[in-house]
Amino acid sequence: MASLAMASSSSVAVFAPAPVMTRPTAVFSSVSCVRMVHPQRFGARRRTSLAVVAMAKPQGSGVETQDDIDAKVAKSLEEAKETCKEDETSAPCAVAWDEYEELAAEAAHARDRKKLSQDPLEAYCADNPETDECRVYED
Amino acid sequence: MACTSGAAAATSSSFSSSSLSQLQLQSHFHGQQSGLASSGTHAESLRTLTMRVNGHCCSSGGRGGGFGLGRRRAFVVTCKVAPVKKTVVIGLAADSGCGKSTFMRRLTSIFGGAAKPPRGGNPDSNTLISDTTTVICLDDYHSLDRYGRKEKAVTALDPRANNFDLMYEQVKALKEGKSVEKPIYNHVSGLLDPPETILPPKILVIEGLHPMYDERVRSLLDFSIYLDISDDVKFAWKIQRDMAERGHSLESIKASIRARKPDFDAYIDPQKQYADAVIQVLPTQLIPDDNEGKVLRVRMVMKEGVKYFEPVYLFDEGSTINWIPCGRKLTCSYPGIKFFYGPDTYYGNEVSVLEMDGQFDKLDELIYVESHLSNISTRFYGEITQQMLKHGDFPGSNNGTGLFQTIAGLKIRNVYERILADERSVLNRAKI
Repeated sequence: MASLAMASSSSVAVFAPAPVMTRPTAVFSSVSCVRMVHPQRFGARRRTSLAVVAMAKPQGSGVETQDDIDAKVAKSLEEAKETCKEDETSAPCAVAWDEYEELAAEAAHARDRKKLSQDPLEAYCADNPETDECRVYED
Repeated sequence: MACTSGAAAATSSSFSSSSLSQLQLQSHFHGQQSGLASSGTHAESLRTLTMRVNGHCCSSGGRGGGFGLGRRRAFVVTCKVAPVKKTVVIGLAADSGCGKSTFMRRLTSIFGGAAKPPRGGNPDSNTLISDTTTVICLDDYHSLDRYGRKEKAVTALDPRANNFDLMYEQVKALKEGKSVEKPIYNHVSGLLDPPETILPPKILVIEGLHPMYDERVRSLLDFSIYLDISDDVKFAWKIQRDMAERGHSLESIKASIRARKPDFDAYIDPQKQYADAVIQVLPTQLIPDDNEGKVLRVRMVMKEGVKYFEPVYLFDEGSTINWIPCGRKLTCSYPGIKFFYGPDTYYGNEVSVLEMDGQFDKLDELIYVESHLSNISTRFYGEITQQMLKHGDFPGSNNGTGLFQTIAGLKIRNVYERILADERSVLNRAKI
């Protein structure tokens, strides 16, 4: 993904891979914003010096697909059934079913979001049917 | 608010009586006190006269000197009142996952503007922001993430998995008009993400499992609602939600509800007694042995004596009414509509209960019912019907859930407007 293009022309776009962050909870994957800086000219000799500012994009639901979430739900369902085989009233059983419930709810929300995200106008009109773009004329 | 009093000697002057008559003065005069409208007493030079006007510090300066009879001297009273940008905080207890629920969408629609996740931030943020409203998901205050909970064998319903100190601190800060850095609980990964900045909104809604659990947080709420779904209806809704996907079965759905029930009953359910309004969703009584959960009986239990909140009623407050609107003026299809209104006690509190069983079929039924409800806090005739039709594709738009959620939203708007009006009148009275 890294490509560095140097040229003697005035402004150059530079793309660089995002640095790996050391914080354990956040893994940043791709570059989302790059700033270009015009090179400085020193006398007769052109020197291209570039400053690259790359802001990484936090890994989010854009990367997690519907299948990933569904796989997680299925896995947690299996785990819950396993844990509850011995004792249905134990705390680990309750925790396992709680986790399944959380993931199933998230999967349902993701499905709804996907339906809405397919058409941004539909999504907007779902919440604002009174605006001009969303008016429907029916006889 | 303590006012530093720098008053040395009393003043003698005649205040312009008209402006001061509106003030509720609790004035501290040092030295000789003269009546407000007195004229022409000895002229001692006035220093600062500090007055406390409803908690705001006002000081006045004026010149002393000789006052003859008949000379009216207006005093300039400057009040150092910081314009209080008060944030109204609403609590909503619900088990359905945050911020994306139908109730939230109806509520934000009543206030105007679509509620969207914060721009440019974490795409898995649970927060929703519109022009006037910010909805915060209380899952963000989990102290243990999914792996931590598994390790300690604690469900998300358990208070030990939540950081109530942080919740109180941040809701208090937002209420006072300060921004906060709120953590994000990522429901997809189950981890706690880096915090996001939340600016103080006009209306803050905190939605989640424990809005009324902690006493300190409870004291910050201006209005609170508890959404109580009965087990049968929960079961029916989860079947609708999950059965389309592979791998789920009736047994696993039943098992998941059963397994969460002990923690739910111990920690979440008791919050009902603190709520100003409880919306209960029960199976219908109109159809014998109905287990599809399509027709619902919805009850709104409204606490009496809550500031700024008058319960909705039918016919007359405090009476008991059973009402079937279908008949000669209105023809309804099966199973029809049935209303009940009456006083009751709920967990030791005096309440009024409004109940609707059945489904709306046509626009006529909606507007007919709306015209017979009182204290609904609408701005114009037909506002409830308009809101219900506007979101006709939301679940519950044809039954009591949509109706009572809309009414609850209008009541919240009413509470907000009355709080604002009170604030404004305090500031107006402080002006001279």
